[in-house]
Amino acid sequence: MNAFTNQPLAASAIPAVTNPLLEVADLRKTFSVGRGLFGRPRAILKAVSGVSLKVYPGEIVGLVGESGSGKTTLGRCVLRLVEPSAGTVRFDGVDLMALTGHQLRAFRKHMQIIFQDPFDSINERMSIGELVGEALAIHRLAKGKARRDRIVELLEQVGLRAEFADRYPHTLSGGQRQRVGIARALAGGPQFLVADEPVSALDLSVQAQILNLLLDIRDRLNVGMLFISHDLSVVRFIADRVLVMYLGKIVESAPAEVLYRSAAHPYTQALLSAAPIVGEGRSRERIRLQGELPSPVDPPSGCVFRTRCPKATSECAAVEPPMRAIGPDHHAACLYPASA
Amino acid sequence: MTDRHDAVLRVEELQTQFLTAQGPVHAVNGVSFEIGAGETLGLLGESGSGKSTIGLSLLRLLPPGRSRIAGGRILFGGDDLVQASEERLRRLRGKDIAMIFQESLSALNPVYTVGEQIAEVIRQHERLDRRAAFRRAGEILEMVGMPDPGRRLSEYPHELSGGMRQRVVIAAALACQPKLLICDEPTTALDVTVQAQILDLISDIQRRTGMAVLFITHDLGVVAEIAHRAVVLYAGRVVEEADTPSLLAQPRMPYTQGLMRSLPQFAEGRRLAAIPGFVPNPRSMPSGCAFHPRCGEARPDCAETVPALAEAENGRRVRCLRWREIAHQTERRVRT
Repeated sequence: MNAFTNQPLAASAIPAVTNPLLEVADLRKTFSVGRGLFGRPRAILKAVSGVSLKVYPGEIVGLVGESGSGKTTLGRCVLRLVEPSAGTVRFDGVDLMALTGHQLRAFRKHMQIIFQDPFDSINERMSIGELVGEALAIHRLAKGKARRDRIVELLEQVGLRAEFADRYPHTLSGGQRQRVGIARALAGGPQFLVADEPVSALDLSVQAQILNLLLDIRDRLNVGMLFISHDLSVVRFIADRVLVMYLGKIVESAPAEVLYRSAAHPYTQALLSAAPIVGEGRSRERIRLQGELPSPVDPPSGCVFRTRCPKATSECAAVEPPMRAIGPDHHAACLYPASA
Repeated sequence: MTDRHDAVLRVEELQTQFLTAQGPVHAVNGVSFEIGAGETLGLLGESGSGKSTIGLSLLRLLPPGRSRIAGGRILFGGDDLVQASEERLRRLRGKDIAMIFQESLSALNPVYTVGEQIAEVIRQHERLDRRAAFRRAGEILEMVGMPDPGRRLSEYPHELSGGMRQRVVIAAALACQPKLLICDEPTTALDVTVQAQILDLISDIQRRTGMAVLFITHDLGVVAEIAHRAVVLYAGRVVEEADTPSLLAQPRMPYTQGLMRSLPQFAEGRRLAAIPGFVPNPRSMPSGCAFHPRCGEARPDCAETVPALAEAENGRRVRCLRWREIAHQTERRVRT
């Protein structure tokens, strides 16, 4: 076996003419950290600093970044699970920011989230059937016999036999739990899913099953997906397009194969060179990043990556680089991008 | 197993049990391996494989009363650590054998400075005064690539980032120049860029000191990066062992082959060849080969006979009834 012998992936799922399902413009999220004696915040933490992105129906957009990049906050903000500080989120033409709490709750069936640990906040005493039924009840969908049928249908959709409905969470393996988490997310018949590190806690052999399942669901239900992960090889496999996030900003965006073949942003290049890859072993030269991730309370002026960037000049401290086109559908926020 | 005379550590038929109300559970079921000076052995396994239990067994750090080493030998220097006295173990731990874990924060004491903690380890094993131990701590921090080591000595663990904390833990582990370093998923909680730095650091130090490293991980990529040789564990048993390049290029045991096919980078087409099912519960192990219910190559006798660990070419070991056939198939596939 050779690394990366896979054929060019099936034609990208991005339709050329359809409208985006999700359109995020200049989204910002700040948190107040540390309160002084009179309740005034001591500092402002910039978790997401002006992010714009689109997800088309049936498209899987990968969002990669390290801890502290703001990827999880961004994922919650686009669903308004965390209230954005500024910016717009349009979902299928609807301005999410304009919805009242009540309207938003009703709208949630169209957009759901899959967590790393799906059972983090559930009642362990409910059976699997009850847990999936609860998700249906929240959206006031299907009652009585119809609900029971729908529960079985949802379980089967995620590869669990009907008898799982009578089992309890503690009897399930990690992979089975994640399947239940996905069944709950699918209960309202969503068009869009945020998957936040959905396979990070799973064993490799089980991770592959869940990745296949997510692809099946995308193909069958044509849902759009924002797939958040720190694992570059997982994102390369599952995503049609990839966004790279660093310190609250998107620094590069490209179709998956393009990004991995010809990354233009120095941060993306460093990230790719750091990831251990079977089949390349110790032969590769790494790009070593200097220093540590700066504090999001006090991000660097100009380019957020400049303090660790091997290419940085004085200009990088003065100017915030805009996203510029590198190639077709390929953008990078860098004054000195590598040419494709 | 290659019979080397320079083995720093030799584990023979290790059996570790967890004692439960329902009776003993065999977490480690007859595991043997050895590590030479200057060598890194990867111990690769998924959850329930017994990999962490092996690491803890080596230093007899498992909770007494809830677990026990039921058999086997752990040969280190002139000692069998299974039989060694608690006093003898205390002298070995932290001096000749050091161990680092995934949770660097819990390995450090929050109320002592970085310098105090490293100096403390040194003074436990060597007759140095406080000041000399502190000076040595500074030198070690510099060796592990800590930026501004002099200042870090007087800082507390919470003032450091995850990557820097793991450097402090490594510094404390290396303080007495151990002959064997046991690493249990030390980079799993770290970002890839930091992980790369820590892996480089461990390799660099090994080149300088010639210590043996046992590197416990679930990550094939990390094994590829750091291990000279690797042992694959499944359900408490060694199922395959080989030097890392041959193991990854030509896995022989169907489980290892399945792991390789599960890697997203080896996807053929738009789906991954996942291993069906999940790892067995140690309370109810399948009969015969523990992997047979998930194995695409399984035959009826796989459910009856526990396969022996067969010796194949170049020191490779494989636990599979059909390993010769499978080796032939793999070869044919490679040639065509």
